[in-house]
Amino acid sequence: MTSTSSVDLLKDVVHLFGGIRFRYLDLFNVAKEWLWIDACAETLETLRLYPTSEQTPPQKVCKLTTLQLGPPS
Amino acid sequence: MQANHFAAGSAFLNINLSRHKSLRTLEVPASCVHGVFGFNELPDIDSRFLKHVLSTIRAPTFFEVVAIYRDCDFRGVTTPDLQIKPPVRRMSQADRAMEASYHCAQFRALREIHKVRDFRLVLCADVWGGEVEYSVRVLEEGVAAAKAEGVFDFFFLNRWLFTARGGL
Repeated sequence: MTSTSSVDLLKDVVHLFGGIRFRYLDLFNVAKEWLWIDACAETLETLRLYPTSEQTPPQKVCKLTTLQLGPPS
Repeated sequence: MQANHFAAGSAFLNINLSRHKSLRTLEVPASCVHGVFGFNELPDIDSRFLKHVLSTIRAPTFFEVVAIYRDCDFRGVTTPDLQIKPPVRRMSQADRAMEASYHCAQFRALREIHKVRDFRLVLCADVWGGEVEYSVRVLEEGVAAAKAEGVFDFFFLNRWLFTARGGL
């Protein structure tokens, strides 16, 4: 997830799908990232964090990380 | 350029992983430890982010921290344009030794962080394909120096990961 600033979007997604169950989160430059982290408390296995938005952003060619959907609960 | 991690409410202090019972791995840029970014050494500041996050973890499954090194974390690697091959690097043996020494100092900072919570360390060099050999060699020299100092007696260097961008 890159450069997402809308908290409302997250709330809509959570409401629409009845929660989010990501096992892997890569949060770069995400506003209120703790909301995403908290929303995945039951399923999150791997978390990639950046202390600030001034870190080197992920390169698109790298394809190191993506969001992975966890198994349905 | 040194990031100010504590300005404007210190957003990362809101991160609390105490409810995450399945958490196994935390991945962070190596630059968040000991200020590799720009080669400014401010360990007391730059380690606080990772210390804080680790201090909140309660998951019994947690065991691994992956430190991700990018091109800009190496003095001898110039961040290239994404569309071209990396530039030719000219590093003397002395410069390379200095860089390995810097990374050794970073491992000492990691040892301090390790006191907050036990974890295995994974070093990940996520650099251009042509720079993998150089970056891995520098990290290996840093690890060797740290081992000689006994730094790695405190935690187990679990494994290495290499991801090459742009082809080898």
